[in-house]
Amino acid sequence: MQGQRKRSSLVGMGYESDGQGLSVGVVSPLSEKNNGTTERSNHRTPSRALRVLVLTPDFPPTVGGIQSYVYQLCAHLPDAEVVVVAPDHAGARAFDARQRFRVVRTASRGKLGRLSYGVFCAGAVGIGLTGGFDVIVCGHFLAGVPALVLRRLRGVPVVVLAHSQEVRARQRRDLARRVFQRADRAIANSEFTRAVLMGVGVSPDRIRKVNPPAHLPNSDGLGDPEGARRRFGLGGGPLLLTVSRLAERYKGHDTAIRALPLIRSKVPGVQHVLVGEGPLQGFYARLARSLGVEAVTVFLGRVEGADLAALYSACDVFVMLSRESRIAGGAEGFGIAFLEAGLMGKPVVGGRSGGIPDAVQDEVTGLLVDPTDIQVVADALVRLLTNPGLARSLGENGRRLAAAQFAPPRLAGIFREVLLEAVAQRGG
Amino acid sequence: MCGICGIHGPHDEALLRRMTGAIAHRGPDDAGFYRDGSVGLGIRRLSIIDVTGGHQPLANEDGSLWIVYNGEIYNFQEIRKTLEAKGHRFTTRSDTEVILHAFEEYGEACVHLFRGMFAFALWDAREGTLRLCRDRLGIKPLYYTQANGSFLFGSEIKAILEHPGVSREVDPEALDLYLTFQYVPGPRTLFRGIHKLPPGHWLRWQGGSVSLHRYWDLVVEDAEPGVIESEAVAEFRDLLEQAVRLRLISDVPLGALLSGGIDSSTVVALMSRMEPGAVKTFTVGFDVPGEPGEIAEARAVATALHTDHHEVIIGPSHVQDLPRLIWHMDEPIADQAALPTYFVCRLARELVTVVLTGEGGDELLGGYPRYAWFRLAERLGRWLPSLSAGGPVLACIGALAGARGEQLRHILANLSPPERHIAWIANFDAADKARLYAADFRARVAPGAAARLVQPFLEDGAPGDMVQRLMALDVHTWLVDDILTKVDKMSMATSVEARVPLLDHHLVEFVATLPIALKVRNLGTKRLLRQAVADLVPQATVARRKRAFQVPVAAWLRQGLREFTADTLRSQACRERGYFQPAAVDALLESHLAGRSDHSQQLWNLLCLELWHRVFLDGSTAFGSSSVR
Repeated sequence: MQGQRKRSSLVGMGYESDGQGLSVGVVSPLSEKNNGTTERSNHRTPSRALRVLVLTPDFPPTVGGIQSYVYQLCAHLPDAEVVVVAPDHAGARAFDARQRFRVVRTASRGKLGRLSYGVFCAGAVGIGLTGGFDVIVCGHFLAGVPALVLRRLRGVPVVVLAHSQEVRARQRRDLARRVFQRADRAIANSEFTRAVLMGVGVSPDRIRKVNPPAHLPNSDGLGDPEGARRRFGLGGGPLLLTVSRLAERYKGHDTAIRALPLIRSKVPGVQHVLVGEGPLQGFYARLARSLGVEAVTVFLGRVEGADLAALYSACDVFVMLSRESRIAGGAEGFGIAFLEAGLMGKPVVGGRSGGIPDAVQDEVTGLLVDPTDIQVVADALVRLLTNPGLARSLGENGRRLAAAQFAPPRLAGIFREVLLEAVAQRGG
Repeated sequence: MCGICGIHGPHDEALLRRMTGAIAHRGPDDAGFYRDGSVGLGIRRLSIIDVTGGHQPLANEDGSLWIVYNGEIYNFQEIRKTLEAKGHRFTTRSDTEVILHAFEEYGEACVHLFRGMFAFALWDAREGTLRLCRDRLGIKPLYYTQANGSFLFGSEIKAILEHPGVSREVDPEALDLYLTFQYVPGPRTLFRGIHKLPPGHWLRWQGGSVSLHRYWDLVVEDAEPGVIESEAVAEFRDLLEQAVRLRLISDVPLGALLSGGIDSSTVVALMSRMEPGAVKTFTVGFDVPGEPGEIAEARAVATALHTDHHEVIIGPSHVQDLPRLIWHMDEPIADQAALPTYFVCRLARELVTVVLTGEGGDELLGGYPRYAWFRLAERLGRWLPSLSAGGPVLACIGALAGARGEQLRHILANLSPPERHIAWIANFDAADKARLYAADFRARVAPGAAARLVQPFLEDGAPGDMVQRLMALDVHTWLVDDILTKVDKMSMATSVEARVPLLDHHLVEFVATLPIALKVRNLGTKRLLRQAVADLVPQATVARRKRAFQVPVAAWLRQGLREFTADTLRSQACRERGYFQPAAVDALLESHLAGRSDHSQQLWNLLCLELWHRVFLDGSTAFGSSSVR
């Protein structure tokens, strides 16, 4: 019954029938290379653009890794007609107007509360019923609820992105499990997240990995590092940079702050610059004061665009020491900021945890360290700060890798393959 | 565990030996000295790790850096591995040497690597700098002073007092604070000019001047957004197990002090799971007919956990050791639990050299009911301003509630947070002091010193909610200067090392950033701990409400100690000190001895103070080497 409905709807939308079912593509397991990203397989391109409904609670202009991940995949998805449903936000209208795809904003703002979640779900179902979509992509499992309703009503396949933390958290774990188990495809942002999904019972043959693409606005040139140092009052000394929301402890900024006295003993004049805002800024500032490093721990708040690119290029090392925590499932699913640093040719130091090993190649683009051991952390940072040759070569490797392996068109192409696979499987 | 001391300034070997000899009880196994020109370092060692190779003072390869060290750095092997990878070569298996090399590598920042309890002195001959360092929470003591241009330090004040240039003068303001708090809050001591090195600090002595800098402080505030109870409990349990496991490192036998409360029971339960064979547990009880007290609870826990359990019972006759204990404590600490702590450590010493204890649980996990009551009082003040402002209402409630009236008034009275805290904890409040102080003495102390001391922790704008602020205040005052000093001095008096797993700084830092509701909710205390150990500790222990450690001092003062107390406080010597009005002391005594009211804490406070004067100022008693086996 469902298959019939599905077929008719797809045929009605313009897919050619070859008499044996749909000609959307050949269903084949995707091959994978060592570098961990999925290779494009031999799908036939449909005769018209793939119609994709993207439901996502997280979408620009709000800032964050998930936002960037979903946005880059949408923006670079080839041969597709994309409609995004996302909560409204200040500045959304101007942002949406610049996109080449349509964004529908539901009348819910900011973080999804219970009521605004309901509004979001209702909006998503409404759009889904009227749009005639081939596939629904959920940026977060919470969007899986309206998506699965739509699948039941329209037979449209559902693909859900997984970021790791939301699957690991105890809160709403059962809902997450159900959504991912029922989805036609689950997309993991890293090997780590793939393992997390398998850990909650998602069948491995329905999990695909698509790493988040590297992207940093205004990263074409070198930015203006000297100008950024002047503008932010950073002087000329060695700079460690972290770019992250200051909202969850698992991000490990506390470890970086705790390691700073040790780093300073070897590299006098070093400063740690944190870009980002969030409820923990006061805590981190007090932590820095309690350890006597408040004068060299600099909180810049939110920085974007050319300023951010310039800060990246002004820093000596990018650092983010995310760890795996029990609290709220804390873990870095991937770590897009490492790629941003890579685009700017900067070496990175990352916690050997979560999906970070997908984003950082140890001793190639940066150094991976035990994110709970301040001595190891300090030693790694000191090694890069005192060894410009090594820092330069890791940074160069990072730039090359970010521009090639993590190029948005490449990863969006792989993403498209996964969508086609879901369509074909449901259709076939 | 050890005792350390030293001097920078003119001195001879005999002085250094006398200083070191004064703290011989801290380390009966070994003594060591280092002298070079004006610097002298001394150590008495209780050998626990690298028993044969851990002799101190210890120097680096070229002899430019010397250390004397008291403590345990439980993660020293890890640090050592990393330092070895950097080319450092070690000649002993001791943690002492790890400090030396870590200092060579990272300078003062090395202290951030150390997980444990420590107080050490480093002489840097090249720089001509003497450095002192004390652990984050002040588990190990360290005192210092200057005399005639010399700098002196010691694990105990008595080492410093051996220097002929150090005068034994009472600091009147410290005495005033002692009467409020029952201990002298750091950095003061009761001796004018002798200071405690505050926890979490480095001290540098260079070119004839002292500078202090703090390397660590506890940040108490909610910083785990989105945490749910079960996750916090699981993480806490992990850290707790790690903290206990780390503290089982020892080359000599170890056991545990068991009170029957949830903190020590938790430690013993975890030890039982980690250690082969039965854990040796030690408990102290009191000779009070019909009152089984904690000893029965401890026995029940010991039975449930299959420990090798030992008990000691003490009565009023044991109080004759009080002068000696006060000598060990250096300053009067009118904590009635000092006495039983000493005797239970002495019992433990017959079988082990190291004991684990449950200290710190109350401050860390919100174990004191007054935290919850304090918050209730603050809320009442907001909801019912008319009630708290209304004198008549208060008077009625006070009268109705009888003995509890005073506490109830503290809750309902319209007080600022510092005033309320002082009202709650003071042995002698302002009114008591107005009656007690002689006019001359009153003129020598500025009123309100206690409130000024707690103000920064409790004022508007201090981080955290009120309960968190109180916990931070307790960590900085009560925990370090009463609880930890008492445990260190009483265990060292019997040459036993006490380890305090609940004060592992990783554990402390984690708990300090959890929402307060996970620790204290309504009037329930220690929620987190109770949930984390529900499968470990007998259910009755988990469910039991916090009770203060009940030493039957009130009864002893009326019976066995009646004459001793009255004679001491009414003695000519005591009156001639000139602090108090004899009539006021008499009134306290009479009211208590007649059973009209319970002034046992106040009398104990005065008794300890007088005995301290006799031991340290009158020079009537000599202890020391006699207490060493």
